[in-house]
Amino acid sequence: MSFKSIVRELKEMKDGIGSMSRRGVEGKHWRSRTRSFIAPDVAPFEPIEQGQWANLPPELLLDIIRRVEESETAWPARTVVLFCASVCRSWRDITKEIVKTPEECGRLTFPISLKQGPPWSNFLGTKFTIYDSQPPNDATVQHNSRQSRRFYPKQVSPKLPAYNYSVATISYELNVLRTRGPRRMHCMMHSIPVSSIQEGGTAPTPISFPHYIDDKHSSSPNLSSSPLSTSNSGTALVLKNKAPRWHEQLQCWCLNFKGRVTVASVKNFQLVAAVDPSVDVPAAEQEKVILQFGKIGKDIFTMDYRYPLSAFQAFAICLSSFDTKPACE
Amino acid sequence: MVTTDEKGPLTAKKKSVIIRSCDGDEFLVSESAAVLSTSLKKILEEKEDRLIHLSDIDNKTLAMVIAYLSTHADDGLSDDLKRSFDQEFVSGKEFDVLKYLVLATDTLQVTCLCYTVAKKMADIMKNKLVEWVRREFDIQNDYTPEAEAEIRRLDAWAWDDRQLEDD
Repeated sequence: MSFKSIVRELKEMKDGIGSMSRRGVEGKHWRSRTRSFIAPDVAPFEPIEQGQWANLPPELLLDIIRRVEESETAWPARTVVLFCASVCRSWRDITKEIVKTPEECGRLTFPISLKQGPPWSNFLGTKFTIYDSQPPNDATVQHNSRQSRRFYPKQVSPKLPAYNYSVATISYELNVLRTRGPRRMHCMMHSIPVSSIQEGGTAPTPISFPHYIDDKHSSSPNLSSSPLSTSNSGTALVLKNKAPRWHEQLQCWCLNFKGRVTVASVKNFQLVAAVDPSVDVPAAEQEKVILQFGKIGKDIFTMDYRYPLSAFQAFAICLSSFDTKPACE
Repeated sequence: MVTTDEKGPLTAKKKSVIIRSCDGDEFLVSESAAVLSTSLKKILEEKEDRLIHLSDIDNKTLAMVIAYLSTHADDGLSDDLKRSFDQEFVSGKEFDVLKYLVLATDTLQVTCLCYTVAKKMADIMKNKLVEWVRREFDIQNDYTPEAEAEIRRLDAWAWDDRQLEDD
């Protein structure tokens, strides 16, 4: 249904209310339906025609779809939201309008959710570079946006996309604690400004993929002209290991994973923001674990991430811990 | 005999209006019930007329809306009772009936009922095929087969093996 027809329908509906006939009759007694009654401004009753539902007032449709969206917060039941989005173009537009980003609502919906950060509150020797084939929508941090591959990084992405935007660089330091200590990670998040964890800061939140089917009519974004480096909204966010404490009784390094990690492993880690003292970030914020990853069984791991990381970035960082690192162990 | 002091407000409360459906049925409704509809309230404020004709609400739908309004205007009923009435009101109703209801409550601006009905419709729409939704809302699929396939590819994680109903 076209927007025009919705508007037309809506207008007719409002006119309908306006033309409700009012006659000066005191309602002291019941008027039987046989009583003659003259109402010049009354539209004759017409049987409801086929197709009227296609022109439901948009705000009513919005209401119904919003209720569908609100009632299913978990997968796989939430699939119904995507079904609403695939009914027709206008339903897709309405659904996309309703669905909030994970940062706002904590829920994953469209695939683009994986590129968006989850909410603030609900969380409880080798160099790797994470590439993305698309830039984050609001251009962010400093220089090296489209790095060429001459750094010989290991590709986290299985295939090489046409455009490579470097979103993060992960380096594993030589183990400062010598043998059997935890690994030291250093993640430079090129696409996330450090200001994102400051009061009122935001992380780049793309709301759709370029070349998305819906956007066919809009001009496709020119990727090469919008690299990450276009604006300079501050330095990149750097993540570092949360320092483990030495447990005297167990004679090992320990981190509190709040029950989410149960098996000791060299791959277990928690990352917090590494903030320069000159940058104004509350101490509580610096203590917050932004990404944690660890083993719970043979070949089974859990990953917990939070704002400002996206699922994509978090997953890529975790993947890097699977590569054997003779330099670190 | 009651004194005039008591009689005054009593008769005011019992003032009623007549609401006529698009197919000619007339309903006698207390004014206190009618004004729960924002649209009717506006009409009653503007004019002294006591007959309101609704040109786009049929008698069955109007009867249901009026039953709702009358129940909610009844001061003798507790909020709990009214809530359970609401649940009872939408339960077991066909999707078709709900569609007319939601449209009527939107026209009449009966916000609470509109929400209740929309919620019930949303509940029914879950676990239904996209084709079912299109049929119920008379929606022409404006996607080309290629565009639809592309959407299913992009939103692939939704299109698994869930059991969905087509009726």
